Amino acid sequence: MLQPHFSLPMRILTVTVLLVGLIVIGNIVRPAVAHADYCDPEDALFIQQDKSVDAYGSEANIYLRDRDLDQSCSDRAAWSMVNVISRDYNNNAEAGYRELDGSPHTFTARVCWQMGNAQSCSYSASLNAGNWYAFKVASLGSNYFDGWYDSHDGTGWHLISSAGPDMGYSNGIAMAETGRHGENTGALDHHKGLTYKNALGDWPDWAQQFKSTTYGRSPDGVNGIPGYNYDKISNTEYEVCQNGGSCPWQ
Amino acid sequence: MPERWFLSMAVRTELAAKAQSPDTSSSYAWSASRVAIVMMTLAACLLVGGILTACSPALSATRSSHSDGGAPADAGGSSWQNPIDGVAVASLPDAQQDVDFPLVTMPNMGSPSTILVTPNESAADTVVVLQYQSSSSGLINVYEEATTMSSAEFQNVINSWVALNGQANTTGSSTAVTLSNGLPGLITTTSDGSNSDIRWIQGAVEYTIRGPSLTQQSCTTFANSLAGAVSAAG
Repeated sequence: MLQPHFSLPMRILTVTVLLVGLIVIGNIVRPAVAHADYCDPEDALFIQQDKSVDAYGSEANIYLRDRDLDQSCSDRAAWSMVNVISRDYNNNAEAGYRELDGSPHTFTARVCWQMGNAQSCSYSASLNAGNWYAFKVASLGSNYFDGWYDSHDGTGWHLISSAGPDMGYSNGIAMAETGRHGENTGALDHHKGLTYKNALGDWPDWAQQFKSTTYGRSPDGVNGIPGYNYDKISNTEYEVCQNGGSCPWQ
Repeated sequence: MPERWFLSMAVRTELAAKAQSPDTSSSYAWSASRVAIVMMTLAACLLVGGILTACSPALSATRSSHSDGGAPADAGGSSWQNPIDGVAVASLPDAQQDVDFPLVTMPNMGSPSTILVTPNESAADTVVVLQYQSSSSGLINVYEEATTMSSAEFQNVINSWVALNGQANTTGSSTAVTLSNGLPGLITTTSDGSNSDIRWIQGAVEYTIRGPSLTQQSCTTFANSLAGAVSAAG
């Protein structure tokens, strides 16, 4: 039986062509597999008042919109908050809601405290999607921040928790936040009635509003939430809209 | 390494082809082997490119935040390159004009590569970040800012955070440390242990050292070094 004869260079060329082909295919296929989804760290968009304004508290009405939650993430969650962040941006006290997976999705009022790389949170009652709630986080003249919510049902403010740690600061930058885990988690959001607590204990309106350039970078380096944009309505109100969608959406 | 391996293989292949090919077929054989070399080089480039593509999320990831309702400062959210929304100033004397305490540089690190200052703030509220590039730890952000916290108040901050370790709904950890000059410090570390930072009070100044590649050990080393320089300058 005749054996086909291939010279050594031809054999090398054949092997090389096959190798190149495999690598090319691998490079085409891999991005879809390796990149997949950013579940952690989180995506977050931060809106802030001017940092020269001393904020002892931060408050807003937030609409609890039931968002899609990325099923490919182990931590399926979305949230909206109001924050008082230290002037060096290293520490954060915040209150708002957190949406978790389930059938139906669950919403809880939440207050969190963050010191560098450590964070602690407390939850309270369940909330109902499709309604407006007011949230506030504030220091009571010390370095401790408490969180509250108001369901607008006539019962007033409800304490989420006053069990927070010593934050080492009593005032900082008033901010508001929209966040999510996973690129397929929705991020439509609406904050209005943004106020801050001043040194006198009063709650004036935000005098400015803009997107933070320091906070709120997503894992893929985008300043904000990929696929969504910030829509300023006034100094005290804004929406987070989906690119290409109706804006404002509510 | 993959690129070197492919190029090495290509050279060996060429030498082997040259040794084994009779002169009569050398023209075709050499053309084929050269094509093979080009193809192998291309393969090497594609392989290296693929590795870089696979690594790019890690390379481009910024500190994710602070915040949420969720994971801590795996540190989200804020930028390592300009973590205070500051403006860069040309020199230490320029930054010194904005604060009432003496700025101190990290020993044995050379001059800061970048100096950031929060603009339009009073001296009491101004934060200065001195950035260094360390051969072992990469980017290091050294925060220096005035504080009204006393040592006792700072100790309460430390105790308060250490007490949260292991508690429900707590992520990351807090570690109380004592610097070589005897001052108390607080190290916070992400849940996966991949990143740490450190802060302490010295005089009327709060110092914080953060960076994307800092460990507990490197935090302590840098803090002891800077705290010693602050003591010497004082």
